[in-house]
Amino acid sequence: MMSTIKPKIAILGASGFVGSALVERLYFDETWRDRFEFTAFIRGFGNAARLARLPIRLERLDLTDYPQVLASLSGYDYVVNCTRGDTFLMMNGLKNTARAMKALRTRKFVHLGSVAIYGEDPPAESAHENAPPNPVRTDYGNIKAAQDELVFALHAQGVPSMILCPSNIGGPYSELILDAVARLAAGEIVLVDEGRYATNIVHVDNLVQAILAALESDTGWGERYFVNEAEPTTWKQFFQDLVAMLGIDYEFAGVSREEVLRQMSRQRTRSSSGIKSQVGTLVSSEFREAVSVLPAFKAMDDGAKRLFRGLSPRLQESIRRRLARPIVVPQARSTRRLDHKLITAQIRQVYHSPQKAMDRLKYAPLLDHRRGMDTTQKWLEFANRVPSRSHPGVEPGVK
Amino acid sequence: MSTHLPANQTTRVKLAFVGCGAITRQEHLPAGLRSPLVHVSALVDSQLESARALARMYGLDTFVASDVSEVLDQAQGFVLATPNDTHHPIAKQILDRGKPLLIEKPITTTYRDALELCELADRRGTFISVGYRYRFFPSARLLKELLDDGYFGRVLSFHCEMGSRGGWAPVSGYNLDRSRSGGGVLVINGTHFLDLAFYWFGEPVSFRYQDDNYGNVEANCKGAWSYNGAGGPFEGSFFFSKTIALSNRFVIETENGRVVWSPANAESITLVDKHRPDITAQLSATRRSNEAVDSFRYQLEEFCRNIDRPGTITSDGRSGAKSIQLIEAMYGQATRLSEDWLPYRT
Repeated sequence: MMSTIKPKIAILGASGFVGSALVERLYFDETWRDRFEFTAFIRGFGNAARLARLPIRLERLDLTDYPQVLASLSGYDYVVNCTRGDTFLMMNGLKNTARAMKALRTRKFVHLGSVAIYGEDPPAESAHENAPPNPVRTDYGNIKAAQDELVFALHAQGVPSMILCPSNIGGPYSELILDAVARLAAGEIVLVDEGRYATNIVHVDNLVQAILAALESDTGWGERYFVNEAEPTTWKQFFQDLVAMLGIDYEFAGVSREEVLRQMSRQRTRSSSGIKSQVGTLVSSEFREAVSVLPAFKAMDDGAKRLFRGLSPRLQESIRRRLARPIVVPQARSTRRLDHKLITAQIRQVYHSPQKAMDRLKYAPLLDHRRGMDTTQKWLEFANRVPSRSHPGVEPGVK
Repeated sequence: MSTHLPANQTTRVKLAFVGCGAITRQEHLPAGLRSPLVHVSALVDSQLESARALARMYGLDTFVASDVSEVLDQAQGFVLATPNDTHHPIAKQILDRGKPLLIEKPITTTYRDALELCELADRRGTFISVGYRYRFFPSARLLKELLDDGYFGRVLSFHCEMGSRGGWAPVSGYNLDRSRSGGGVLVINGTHFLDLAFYWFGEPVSFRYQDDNYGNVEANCKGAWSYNGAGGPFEGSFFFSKTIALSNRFVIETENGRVVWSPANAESITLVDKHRPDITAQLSATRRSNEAVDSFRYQLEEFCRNIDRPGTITSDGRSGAKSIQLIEAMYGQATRLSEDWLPYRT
């Protein structure tokens, strides 16, 4: 007689973008609904409305509290980690999860990694997963690389673990898509090198498909897999698709990759010199005047003034000269900024191929580019972000 | 138009705050402490430590209790901000003692319970105010006056939408449980705009309603209300969401142009002239004071003034009951929103 016991999945970070899409798939798709039982674990109640409309098991879990993690994950066969958050949560949360899974002998662990481990301008060899992580200049990339080490260590300790690495994630509810639509509507998008590089935007339902393929797989554990569309899509194609959804005329201005890299480098320099300028601000008379309305600051300010006046005139003049800075008049900003993610992401020249996941995990994207953009458009219409095809002439956001 | 000033009241009204969760901590209690009309006489929470913690947070040496029955005699009025499903039983105790009640929206989770409270208040010679604070915005009051005066001509249609991705997170998480909240985004957020639609346009004669509830609380709802206005019939559509950031405003198409009201602008409304759509005008009432709009305090102060001397109640129990009656009717006739972006739906 065949066993009817379904494997139980604990979905961590279930109220996030990917976690919610996974939960919806497991709830709505009969193919998968009958295959697993699952619980959606969430950090707090504020962001869980998308899940709370469904009659599912929804539980609060603080991943930084080990005894709670151990108790909550008891009885689950599989764990899928979709959590995001600050460094403390991402690192300590994963450490506690790993420790609990080891104690509980969890059968499979799927962790969402990121190609951010290759930095903001990844090298050509990162087209495939065997390239070593090198998260140059990104805090997020550093955290994800450190998380990957924990996951591989867990696998070595006996919990079959796997890392799925998407790059940008698109589809319904994608913040990146919403940002792109808003910036196109505002005329802020320029193409880098004619928009010829791959977006590496994977549709969220394809990422979910990869998670399910991983859970079903009996092989390929202890490794990292890129999750992407089966064919690369260029940034030019991506933006043109969104322009068509918006129903606007858009003349794409261009900028070279080198110019964007120079701008990013200048931005970094400015950020590092920012501390110096803040110290200058602290001693400026405007700042002192502003904070002196607060009693505590006023007392401090008066004390500092008395101290300063007690110095010799020569020393006072010397300090004033040292602190004096020229007045900087900021330039009027061009509407086309080069420092937002939808510009800087375009410098990446690498297409992170999902071939390994397709070969080893039998990952087959649920949607091709055209169908993926169609679902995106339907959601954008629902969200009043683009004109509705079924109600032409409706103005987004007003109706 | 109300001035929100103390109106010569010199003694503070003793208020008990029942429910020490997020809304009391962040809004009602600070509003009471800002007001010269309020004396905080007690903090009540079923988790006594929550009441104590709140008292400590604001440095209050006030009475704390775990049950409202312990403070029924020591307060002149009660501010009730507990999970929605507890409004009815707690409110009954308060009103039965003949004490006035300011109750957070929605008044109750069912129309029957709301009516019962209103009738009890009448029998005991007391009153209910419902916490629809947007009615205290000068911009909302101005719009009401101008619509009533026919300043914009005939109302042709309106659309309102309110949405954020996530947002307000009650300490108890009752908002995610239909049996406790009475519903989803419509009850939790949409009720504010529904109340304003009542305030400005009156009671709708019919409605259409769709949501995405699959057995718990809806995260999105869309629909329309139909009105028989003085100038002829018109329709107003709505979209409330807990998953999508929306523009949070009313856009009202009128004979004289497009009128926009947003809670982000408590002082004024925007008019886009029909004949000069390239020009927008900000309309605001001339105010005697330069103070920032403080709607939670205004609400509390009106409540205190009514305890001192009965007068106008901006949002009373019966108008709160009408809101919940309409919500109940909409839920009763809900159809499912199409989520046609989900490719695997079967």
